[in-house]
Amino acid sequence: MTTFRQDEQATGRSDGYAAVDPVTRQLIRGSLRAAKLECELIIERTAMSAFIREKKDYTVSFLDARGHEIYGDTMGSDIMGCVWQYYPEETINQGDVYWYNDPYISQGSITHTPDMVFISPVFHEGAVVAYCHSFAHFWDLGGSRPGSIGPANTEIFHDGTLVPPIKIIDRGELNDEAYRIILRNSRYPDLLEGDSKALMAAAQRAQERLLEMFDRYGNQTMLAAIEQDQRDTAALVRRKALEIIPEGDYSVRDYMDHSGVEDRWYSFHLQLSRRGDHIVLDTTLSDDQADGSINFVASPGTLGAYFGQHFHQYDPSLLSNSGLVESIDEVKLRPGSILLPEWPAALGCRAHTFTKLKSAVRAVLAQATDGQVMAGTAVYVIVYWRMKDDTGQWLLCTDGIAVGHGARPFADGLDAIYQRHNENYPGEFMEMEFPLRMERYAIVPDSGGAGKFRGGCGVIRDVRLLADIGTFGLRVENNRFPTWGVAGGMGGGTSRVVMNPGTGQEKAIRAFSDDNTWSRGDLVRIYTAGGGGWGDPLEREPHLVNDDVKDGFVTLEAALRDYGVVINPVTLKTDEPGTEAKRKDISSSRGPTKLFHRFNYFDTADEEYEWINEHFPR
Amino acid sequence: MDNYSVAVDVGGTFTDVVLCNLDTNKQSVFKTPSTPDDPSAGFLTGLQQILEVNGIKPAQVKHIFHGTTIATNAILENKGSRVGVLVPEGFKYVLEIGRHGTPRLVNPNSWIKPERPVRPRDIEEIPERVSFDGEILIPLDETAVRRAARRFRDEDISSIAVSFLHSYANRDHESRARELILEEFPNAQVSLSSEVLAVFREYERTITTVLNAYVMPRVSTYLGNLERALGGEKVDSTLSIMKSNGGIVSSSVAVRQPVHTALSGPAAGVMATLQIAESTGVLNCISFDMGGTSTDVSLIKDRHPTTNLGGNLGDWPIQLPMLDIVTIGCGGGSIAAVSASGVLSVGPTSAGAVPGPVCYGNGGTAPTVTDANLVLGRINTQIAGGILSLDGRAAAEAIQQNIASPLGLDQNAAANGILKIANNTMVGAIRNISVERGHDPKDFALVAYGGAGPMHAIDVAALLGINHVVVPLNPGIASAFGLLAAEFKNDYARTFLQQAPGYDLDGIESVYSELEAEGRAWLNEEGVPQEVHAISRSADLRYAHQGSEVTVPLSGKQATGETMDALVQEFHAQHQQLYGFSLDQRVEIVTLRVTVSGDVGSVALPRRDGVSDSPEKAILDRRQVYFDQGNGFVSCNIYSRDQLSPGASISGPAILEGMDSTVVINPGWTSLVDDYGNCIIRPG
Repeated sequence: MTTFRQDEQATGRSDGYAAVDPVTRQLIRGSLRAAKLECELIIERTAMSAFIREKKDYTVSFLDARGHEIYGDTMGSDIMGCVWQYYPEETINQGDVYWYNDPYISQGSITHTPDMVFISPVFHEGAVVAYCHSFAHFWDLGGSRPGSIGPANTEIFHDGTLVPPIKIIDRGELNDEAYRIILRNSRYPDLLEGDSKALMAAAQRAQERLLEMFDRYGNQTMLAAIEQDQRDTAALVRRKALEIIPEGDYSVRDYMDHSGVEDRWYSFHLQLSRRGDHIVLDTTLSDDQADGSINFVASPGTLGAYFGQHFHQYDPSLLSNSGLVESIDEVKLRPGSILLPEWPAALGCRAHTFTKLKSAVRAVLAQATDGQVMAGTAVYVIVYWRMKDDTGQWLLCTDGIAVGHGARPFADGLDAIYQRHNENYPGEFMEMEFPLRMERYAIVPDSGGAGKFRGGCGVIRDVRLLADIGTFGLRVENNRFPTWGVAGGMGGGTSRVVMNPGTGQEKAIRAFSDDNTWSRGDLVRIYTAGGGGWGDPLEREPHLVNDDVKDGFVTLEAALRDYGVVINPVTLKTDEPGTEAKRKDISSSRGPTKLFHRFNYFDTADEEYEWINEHFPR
Repeated sequence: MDNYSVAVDVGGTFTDVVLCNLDTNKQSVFKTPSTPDDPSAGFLTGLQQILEVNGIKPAQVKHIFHGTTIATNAILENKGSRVGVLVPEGFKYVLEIGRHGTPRLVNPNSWIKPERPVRPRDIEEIPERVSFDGEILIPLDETAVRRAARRFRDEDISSIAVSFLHSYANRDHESRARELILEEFPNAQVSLSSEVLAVFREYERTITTVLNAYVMPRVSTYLGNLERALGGEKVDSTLSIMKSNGGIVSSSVAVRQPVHTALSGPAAGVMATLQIAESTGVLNCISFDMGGTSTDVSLIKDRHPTTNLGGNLGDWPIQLPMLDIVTIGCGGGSIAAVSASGVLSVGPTSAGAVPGPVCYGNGGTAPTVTDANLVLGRINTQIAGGILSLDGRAAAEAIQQNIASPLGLDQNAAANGILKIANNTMVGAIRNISVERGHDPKDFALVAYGGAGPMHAIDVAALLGINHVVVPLNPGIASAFGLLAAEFKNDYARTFLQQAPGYDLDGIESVYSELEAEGRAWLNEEGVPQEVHAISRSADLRYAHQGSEVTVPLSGKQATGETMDALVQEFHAQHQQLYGFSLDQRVEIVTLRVTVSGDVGSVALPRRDGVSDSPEKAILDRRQVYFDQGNGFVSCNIYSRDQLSPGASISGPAILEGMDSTVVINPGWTSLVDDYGNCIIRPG
């Protein structure tokens, strides 16, 4: 077991700086935000692979000289640790750029191989004062199939070529030999070159911007302001954690449908315990690592940041920085478990695990707050459409598809959102670039979990192949286990995939699978899962249910069954007395709701675990 | 009898009117409160008053130029009309799903998806399909179109948008759908995506088309009423409307494509900047329009305003060619606040016109940028020629209580902090349109206007390393002058994907010719004489696989091997300048563009007569004013701007007070009044 104490990581705070006035601190925060946006825009406008430029899976972050985040999206990852292993600080020069994608060497600061980081040091007055780091999900670098990672992989070598920390630019000079080796390992070297150039340009521009800030505000002022911001964020998340989490133990479990190889489910377990002011997160009762690619190299920093991000929402005026990790004191991980797999386990589809983990953090807090959290969010979907073009070349279209998000104590869940700011491919773009035709892009009715606030709905995407032959890989979760509802809200709808629906050749396809074959004219339909609901559906305003029916988010049948709202199928008018009676009826036959719902209402993780073992034997 | 032009710029608070004698170029101005419930009332009041004051008969007015926020506000305030939409089968949720993302800086746990301007129930799916290269895959189901049209007619949904996939490549289905709709529902107003925005990406094209339909009834009612009222006033002139691209169109054209007027107001400001810059011989400048709730900035290079292919209005992308204007929620009325964790922020929340800043005494309790300016002595307690009296004590108390005490700062440091944060935000916006587009702001003059712009201009310039600030004579109504300087202008575009190296030159040339013919037809419709037609061609290029394009002008009149080579070379160069690198990879041509314009009598700024022989005679007062870069409060002269003649030179620290705006001259800067009444302010 690896036990890890946050206060050990938080390294000695120097305390050596004078306090910076609040105005200057805000000027610095404003400049950091502007610099981040500017550099991210460079990536968006110049990157070549559609994954980055259309889907926008990229970020730029700033780290201090200790590698602790100043501002950005590193979410508790230790970006610099593995770089220093190979390049001690004193060997780092101005104009250098470092590159890696190795999840194992970086101990989970990168969690699967397509994610690449480029790091540029900032020198001021002769010493490193900060590092800038650009990050993006790349199209293809080695691996078993176009797109590198995929559902069928069983070891990290299938997931793609590993780039340990290397110095790709040495004092302004491109390391051409290393670059040639890396480009040679991609099926699409032009894209790799364009994307890596874009990321390097962004890291270097970020370095210039930070340098300007050090010049403008002065070395000591900058360093002091950075440190005070880190401390403020740490203090906020710590204070909120102690305010929100009463003494006691809170545990949850969530379930992954399938490993991609063997047809059995996996689960992880989180237990949060507070004794006095000491808060511990224990994950050691999670399953052993999977034979497929859903393993997630969690780090204590990452898990700490998941909690920290929840507490940070109470005051978003503070920067998102390394302080996020300090809401809990200790994180226990078990090597060999699905949350800390051992080399060389495949990791490509770890999103199945970490998306559920992020929801599970809220489920833990639901127990501490009587359900005042967002319900479970479905795992965002990736499909690898692969097809042979007229010249015999394999083309790849990595298609990110939206899902439904959990309902909140104050609002419905988000319909048809992927995750955060990532964007879909326009159908017109897909058809222009690939021999594919998009024939439907719609909402899946009733996929949002019923609740006083409805869970977000998933989507339907129909894609037809216009090339002679092709294959496709599906990274689709929530096919067996839907999202959970909370505070009386119900679980969301499940996902499924079917080929040639409504024809004689209709065929169900396993949601998490690879090497499915299709040929010219075949159509694949994907239904994505919805988010969990929040609050008792019988308390939802009938007119909102009526609106959902008119707009196709809820069917007439579900309005009646789940919400007890009686709507005339012809006029679509709500029958108010009928609704009142129906709701009384449901309420008495159903009994009281419980904290969670998925398949059934339940209060504890153990209660659900028993039910699932009985109904889905492994 | 002399002929006149009138410009009317309707803003959120005031309606500004400029009258211009077309024979003498003598110009006079008038300001009247806006009437948000019916903006035409303020428009007509302003027009009547300025004619009356100057003794002009309505029949002498030959042209009226108008900047309007009708479309803008309808979109921002969700006050458009119910719209019916036709989409291809399978795509009813194109708006609901959008690009399936959240905005970049929001927390998805707390973010709420904005309600679309049209609900899915009002979107009808029509069996039809066109491929990306224009081939008809499924013929248009005419019965379905008729059925939908009848439904909209029965439900009295008269504004209808049609957005079919790939309609930029073949617009036949959309055009036919319009014919069918009008047969069933002759009073319908139909917006076609292939006319509003013939470029790829279905969500962006559809939302832009839907917004066009969403604002069309309001805009057409408004302009119709205005035309009728003008007729009633015996004004027999043309009515031209400013568009987001800085050009004007006749009101009858604006009614067809009202979404093009979404940035009408700010665009007029940019055209004013261009006019001011020309008057002072400046080629390169940045416009800085700071008003009550927001600040607009844009960049003019070599006398050309920069344009982009679309920004956002509220929550929606509008991918139309428009002036590259960045708007930030920071103005005189922006509220300063301290968060629970002790973070001081300024804006984007604004005190608005009601209740306004604390010092206005209309019930505002949250300190604003204007309150900070007042506490620091930068504005007078009597403004607008003494019409408005400001409560300095209330402003000071609000800053003390809400900002200074929680942060442990003294009151002046707190007030100064508010200004510094506001200035930093505005610097960010200017960097956005300069540094991030590959321009160094040091090479540009800052042209400052709007009620608050001239108060902040020098601080903002100093932060950017700019050493040349221009403040026009009437900063508060600059945009209205910009209307007089505009010419007729329209943009035409079509996506026509061409992969290197085999560009289809004939195909390109024929698309260009078609776009050009459309443009010329429109110029003729506007009555622009042939000899002043100006046509320019450009193209959006990218490296193969990139997803955003760079617009590059086509030199030469025709698409030939030679001009296309030059185009590609220019693309490499611009990519290098914008992003710091270029690549030895294939270049694709994505969209072809034609801009047509015609100048039929824009007017220049008038020269200003001398008013007094010595600046000393313009001194009104002396008071303590706080400057950040010195020792805090210093005593300085307060001048009446109206009393300064061309040639007057005033060294900072000093304050120039005008009817509608205050110019703050920092220590170490000197202002010189030029022949047009502009203040040219430089270090020294």
